[in-house]
Amino acid sequence: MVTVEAAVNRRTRGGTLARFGAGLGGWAWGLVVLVYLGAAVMAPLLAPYEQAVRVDLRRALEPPGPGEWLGRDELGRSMAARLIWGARSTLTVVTLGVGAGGVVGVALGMVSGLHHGGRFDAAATTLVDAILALPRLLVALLVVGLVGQSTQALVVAVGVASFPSFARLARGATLAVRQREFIVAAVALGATSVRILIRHVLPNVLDVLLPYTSLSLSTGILVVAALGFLGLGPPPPAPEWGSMLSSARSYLWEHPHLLVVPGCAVAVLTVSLSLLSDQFAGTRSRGKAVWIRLAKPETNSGRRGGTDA
Amino acid sequence: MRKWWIWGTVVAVLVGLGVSGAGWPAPAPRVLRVAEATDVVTLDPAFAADRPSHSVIGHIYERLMRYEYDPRSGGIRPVPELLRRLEVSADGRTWTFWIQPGRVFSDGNPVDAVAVKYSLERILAPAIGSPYRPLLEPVQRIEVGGPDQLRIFTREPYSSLGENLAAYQTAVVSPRAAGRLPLREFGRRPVGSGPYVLDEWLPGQQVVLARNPEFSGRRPWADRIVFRPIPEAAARVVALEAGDVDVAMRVPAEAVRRLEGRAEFEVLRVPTTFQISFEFNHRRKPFDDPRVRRALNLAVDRRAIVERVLLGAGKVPTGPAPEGVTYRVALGEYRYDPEEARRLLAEAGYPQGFSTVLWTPAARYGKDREVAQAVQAYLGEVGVRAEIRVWEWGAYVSAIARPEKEAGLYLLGVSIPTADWRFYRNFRSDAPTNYSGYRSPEVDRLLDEARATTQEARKQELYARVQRVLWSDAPYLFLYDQVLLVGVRRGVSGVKVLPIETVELHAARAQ
Amino acid sequence: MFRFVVRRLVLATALVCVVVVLVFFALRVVPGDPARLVAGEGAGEQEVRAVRGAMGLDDPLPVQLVRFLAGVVAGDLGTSLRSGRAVREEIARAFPVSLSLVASGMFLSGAVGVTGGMLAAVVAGSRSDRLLTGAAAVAASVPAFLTGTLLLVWFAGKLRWFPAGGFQSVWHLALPVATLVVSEGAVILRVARGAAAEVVCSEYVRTAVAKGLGSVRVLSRHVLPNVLVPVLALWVADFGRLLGGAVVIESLFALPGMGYLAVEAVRYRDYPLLQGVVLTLCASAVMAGAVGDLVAGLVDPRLQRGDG
Repeated sequence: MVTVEAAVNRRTRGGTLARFGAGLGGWAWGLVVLVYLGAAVMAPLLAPYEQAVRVDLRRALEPPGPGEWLGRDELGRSMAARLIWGARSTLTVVTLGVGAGGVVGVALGMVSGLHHGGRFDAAATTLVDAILALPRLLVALLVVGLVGQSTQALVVAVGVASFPSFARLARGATLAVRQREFIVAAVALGATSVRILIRHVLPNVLDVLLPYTSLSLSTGILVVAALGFLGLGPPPPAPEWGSMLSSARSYLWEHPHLLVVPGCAVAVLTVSLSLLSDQFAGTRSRGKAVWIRLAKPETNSGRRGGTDA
Repeated sequence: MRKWWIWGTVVAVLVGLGVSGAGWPAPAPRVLRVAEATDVVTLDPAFAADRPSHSVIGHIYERLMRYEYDPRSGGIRPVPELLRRLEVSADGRTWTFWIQPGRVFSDGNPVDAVAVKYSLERILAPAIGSPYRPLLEPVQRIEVGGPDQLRIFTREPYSSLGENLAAYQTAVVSPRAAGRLPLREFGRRPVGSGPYVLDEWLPGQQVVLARNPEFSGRRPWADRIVFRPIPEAAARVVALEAGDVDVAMRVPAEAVRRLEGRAEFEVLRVPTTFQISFEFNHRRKPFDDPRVRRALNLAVDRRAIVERVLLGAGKVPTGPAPEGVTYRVALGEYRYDPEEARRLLAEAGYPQGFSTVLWTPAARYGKDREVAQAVQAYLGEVGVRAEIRVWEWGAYVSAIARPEKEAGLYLLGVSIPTADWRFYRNFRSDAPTNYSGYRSPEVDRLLDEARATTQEARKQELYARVQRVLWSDAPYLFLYDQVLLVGVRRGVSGVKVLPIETVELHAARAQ
Repeated sequence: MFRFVVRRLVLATALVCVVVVLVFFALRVVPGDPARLVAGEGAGEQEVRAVRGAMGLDDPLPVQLVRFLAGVVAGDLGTSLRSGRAVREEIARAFPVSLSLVASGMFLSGAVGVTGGMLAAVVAGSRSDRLLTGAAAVAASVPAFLTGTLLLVWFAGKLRWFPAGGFQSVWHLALPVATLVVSEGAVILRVARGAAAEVVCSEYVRTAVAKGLGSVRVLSRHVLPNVLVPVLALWVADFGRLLGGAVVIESLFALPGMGYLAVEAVRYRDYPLLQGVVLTLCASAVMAGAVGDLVAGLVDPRLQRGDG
């Protein structure tokens, strides 16, 4: 039966099984992620780079079949090889870009949230909202103008495109937890902002941020795809998932494998990361439920929740 | 809490309804609907640069001449529209035009020599600032000789004046209307003498033309014509398939098989005057050596590119001017011969090849980056290691105009349909628009002479020689002539698409 | 609360001005010449220079800036270099298109996402939860043009239930909104699930359950406010971003909105139009953010009390 009561009971039941998740199924997704990382790192061992860039027009748009199990792209290059080698540049750029944007954004958002209503909060939030609204193309063009047409520029562009959402989300999540008892208590006890943020706020906002982070990677790849025509990133014929996705657009109907191959790669990675982050969060919250009970015994009796709502 | 969601949904629906305004329009009895890739920019002929604007201008205005396309011969030639008779003086400097009498603008004013003089002087006037002034540059003065007689005097003999007067930019505008409205306004409230008038223009949504009651020429079938901008190629095809439009311009090559597979649609394949090439940077070694240039032209398999990369939306060029350009001659294809290419390179002093930089814009010419990578691969096979640099169009246009640019070769297309204008712009030494830096005294001499000659036969011979010289001198890596694909609903007949990529519906009708 | 909102609005005006001025200068640093781009192929070099002068681009930068700012104060955002129409007019035409798309889309996304997310959180760990999470992850990683094209070809092309693009009636918005809901709804669902799961195990909810309150009541009165605050933050952020950022959807469905306008303005370096668009988008996003915070305060009164 789907009730909140059942959910709550399931969650707080202690025991070894509950501690480590419903079996190891959840952690299996981590293996998928490792495979991606492995492919990126071990690309030279898996397929020669030449295969990813050699043009063979006679075999252009060949569908998947024996020999080339993922087919060939619009210039006759091996989709499989391009996928493997593309993993390197795409994953690097997107991880760095989204990572940088995420770290900056979350830090900004958490500080804003903690000092909700203050000057810093007002200024930071307004600035974030303004940057958010700037057309991505314009921002990328400005980045190119300042940094030049390089992979660094692409990383910066992706970072700038991702950080505002992280900032806003982190701020919202911080607001939601900041009235919690243990935080109020920590403030009362005179802990510094940084300490509060890292020890008390961060663990709680992770539940909201982790799902978003796993999705933001795929968003990052799509941003890279959209910015491809600005000349950012590695110059052709270097393979890159984003540019593979955008050139596959026109071939959608006749030769879907051009889109399906990188699209599935991205989708599988996103799903794996999502389920993996859930697994991580699930383990933590089961542990946390115990921790709350242990940490604040005096608040357990007779409390009716901390709101008037 | 629940109230929020109800309230929110109501607001959202109201907002959607409120801003939708007109609601679904009821179809008029005889309407032709065309889907274009971009919106009309301006309907002021002196400023119109893009194809959709030209198409609409062709329906609202009339010109002294217009372009007629003969699919059999593949030629395009100017034929009279408002013109009744033309006399050119022996020295080629005085042109006397007689125009059709009795024509009226849609605002009732007569189309007379005064109006034509006004329209042409408009392009020349610095105060107006038309970018197309070079079209009529050698014109010294224009005189009205009678209600329908006009005389144009040129500084030097300028035999191309005739064909230039078929350009959309020379369309005849109503002096009363143009004089009364501020400059930018006229582009939105045009007054011409063509079979249609502008009925409604919702930017980004549609341009609607209605029948011009004052039009005295042959009545077209359609009461209304609607031009709709649908930027996404796939969406244009869907609109055609769904019956939302009758003609879909610029159908992507990938959708052709799907459309032709259905009986209700046909696909027109129109060769265009658009030729795409890699211009060589003659200011950089080794591109100043014709052997190197010829070698690179032999190194590329154009047939494979046209068939495999463009999927048939192109033709292998047979000369520096594609079908549809005036005075064009077919000279035969550059064959694919990498052996000969390597031999020529060795002879020129590059047995190991050399390195260079290749520039391409992105998202400007369909498949530009793919073509660039294919060419990079072909060049690699003969030892030329080209590093690709992709540019955004806005920055690209400025970058290629710089003489000191780093590129060894850069992708660019030309679509001008008249020989004089086209060759002059690109190949005349010291022409400001000659970005490649190509210099050939022979070509200069031939072009100057052709411009001055009034005898047709001599002119043809001169232009033929220009094309032969250019073809063997290879100032560019000539790649392909673009083929325009247009989807038409089978019930619609008489749709004319010109090699200059505009559509004419004057003779079109639908069942 | 009131003081906070006022402070936000004052700051907003100042910051938006700063951003617009920065963009003004940045635009002119970026390579590209509007005169050449607008004049097109076939234009003479001298004439392009003349066009540039006519566009007012030869004047010294500070003069251009003052002209622009003076115009803004007077309500005149300048004239588009490409179309010749008043920038104000172009924006007034494009903004409602984007607003209706994004407003409807985000409302539905929010409804779908929050409901789905809370339900998923309640059955967290079970197979249906994994399925839902996986589906949401897939939906969020599918590019918008794929979703949109599939919808367009199926529902407009084959089934003809909806028109194939344009902006003339509510029906024209159905497919674009659906495309938006698929990607945005998925993200909101995941975030809502995270927030709900986080609070379901708190002793706050356990107390409510122990008191014997029914599921629905617990969900709506105890879980929902906690979920809404972070979701609202994301919602507001995406709303602001999509107002000018739904280019793919606008271009696919031929909706002449702000996103498409911005892209065209960038492509042709139409400075006045771009400045006007940036000003409008920034102001709207900042305002949406302020409104969002207000709503969050109403949803969870604990937030009303801001620290100094």
